[in-house]
Amino acid sequence: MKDRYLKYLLVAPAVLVVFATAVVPLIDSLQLSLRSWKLSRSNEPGPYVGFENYEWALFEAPDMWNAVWVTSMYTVATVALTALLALALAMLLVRGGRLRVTVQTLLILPFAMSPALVGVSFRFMFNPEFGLFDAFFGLLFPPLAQIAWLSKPHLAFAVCVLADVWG
Amino acid sequence: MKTSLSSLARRFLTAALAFGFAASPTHTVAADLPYALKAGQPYAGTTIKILSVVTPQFDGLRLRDPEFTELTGIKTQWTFIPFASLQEKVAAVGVAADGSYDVVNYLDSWGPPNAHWLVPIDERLEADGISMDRYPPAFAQSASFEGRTLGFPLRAHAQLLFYRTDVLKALAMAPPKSWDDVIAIGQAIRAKNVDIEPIALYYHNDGNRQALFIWLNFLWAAGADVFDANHCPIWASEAGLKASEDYVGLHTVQKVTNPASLSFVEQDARQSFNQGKSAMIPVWWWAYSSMTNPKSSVLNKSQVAFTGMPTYQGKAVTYAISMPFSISKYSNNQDAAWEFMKWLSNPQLEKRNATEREVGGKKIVNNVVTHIANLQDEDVNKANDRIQQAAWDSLKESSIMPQIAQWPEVADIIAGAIAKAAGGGNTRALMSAAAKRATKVLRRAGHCR
Repeated sequence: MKDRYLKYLLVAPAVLVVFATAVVPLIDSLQLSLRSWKLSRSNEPGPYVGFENYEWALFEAPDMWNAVWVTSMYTVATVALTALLALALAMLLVRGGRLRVTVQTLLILPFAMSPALVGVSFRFMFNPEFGLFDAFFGLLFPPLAQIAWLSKPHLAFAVCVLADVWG
Repeated sequence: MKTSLSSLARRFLTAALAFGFAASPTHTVAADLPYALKAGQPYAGTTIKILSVVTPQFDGLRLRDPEFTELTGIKTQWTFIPFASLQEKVAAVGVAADGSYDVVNYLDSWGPPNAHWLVPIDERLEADGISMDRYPPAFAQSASFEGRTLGFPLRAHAQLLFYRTDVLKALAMAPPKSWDDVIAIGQAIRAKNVDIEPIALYYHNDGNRQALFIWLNFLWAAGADVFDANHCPIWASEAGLKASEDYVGLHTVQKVTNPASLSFVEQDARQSFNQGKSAMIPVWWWAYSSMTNPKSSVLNKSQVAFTGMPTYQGKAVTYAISMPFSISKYSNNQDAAWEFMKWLSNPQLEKRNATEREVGGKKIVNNVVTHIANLQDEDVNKANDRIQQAAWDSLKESSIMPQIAQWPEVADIIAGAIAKAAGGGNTRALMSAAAKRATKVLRRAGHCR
């Protein structure tokens, strides 16, 4: 087989997998978004309704723009903090030293934990009655002892970002 | 496996009964077998798959399934899911539409959005002479939608107020009868600087709408309601707003709640009570067994007592909840599933499950019964410190959450507003805004026009 065809053959499986698992569902979602479908009434999609669903989402739905705002903020905060923190740690470790392997192993640990497990763990750790972090912050900074970390929207957001950056 | 003498005797009697009826040519009608089961084992060899919440109550029933198999030849296969994940699982089963489960267990407020794939059982009930009148009205209503019965409320709960007897005794105060009494006890606890929080409530909005449980008590007792007849939000009426303010005010104004109530969901509040950190908690009656179980609590029976829900403005209207069992429309074994439902829901089995403390060698502690007969049964009450009678009293004036498909979405909006109000927001403004947002959702669905 000529070399110029071999490269296409080699990437073909990857292209097929991506097409089947990403492109097809995306196209399917797009056509579904143009139909009326109340899952609370039927498992079958209803008739095509043009851009009615988009009109609802953009101009009527109570939570749409709040969701856009929170998602945007979350993405910016987690990406920026993760990149900065990772860069800082990399610069600290680039010099080597006896503890480097140990520290590297500890830093890789969060990668091995599932996001769901990280989320549940952080929820426990910020529990106001028995949470480790809650007690820790309260001990270090007494004014923070009475703060309900997971109940105020902004603080809960910060805790979510913290959990994401750690994981 | 260790098998008790009574269990052996019961199995023998059950088998003998089934054999006797099946063998006799004159006993072939449905009414002849116990629990209206069909004679002749027409579905023998079928395996019924059941999706259920994790609870000792259903574990006790599962362990008794061999009795059902002996009677009918039908086998069972249970899948237990923790409550926190159950809603997603039920929704996924409905969307998959592949008949992977024959019988499903769900929270009553999830019934309407899933009703399109749950089989109404009214005709079957009539054919087998089973009446839903055997349940308290609120429980029966919770297992129906748009006038059709969708299932049996096999697990259902009444609200009670649990309190620490030792704490109240030290304060020389009587158990609270009203929310004013709760506030007075709370203030006495604060004044004496006792190392315990007065009451654990749950204002957190975690997607399970638990912040509404006590709010509904206040709302209904004030004569207000969630919706009008057209399913338009009316909780922002003057009476409704006052009730909401007073409910949130327990935390923000009276300050008699555990400060962590802002972060608590119901489970957290129960844990706080069980750990001896809160002196009172309004919660479902089933929680009683865990409050005095050394594995889950630091308290003993002499420290815990219960009473009816406190009155608000001189009236107590409680919120009742149920977790019905229904047959999936996608099941290929609907007739066999109905046989199972009849057996599973029979009051005799329920009574045994609430009085016998060991099944097949496994310890089971369950106090949940849902039949009126069992709620008032002397044996059942005797075995459970008379909590069933208290629950029955609580249920006499009770209601359920609205039964419309959009309720989960609307309830999320209310729960969000309550959580923000408890966090220091303006209750009136938040609840009014929530009503406007909910109106949009409801109008899009064809309600509130």
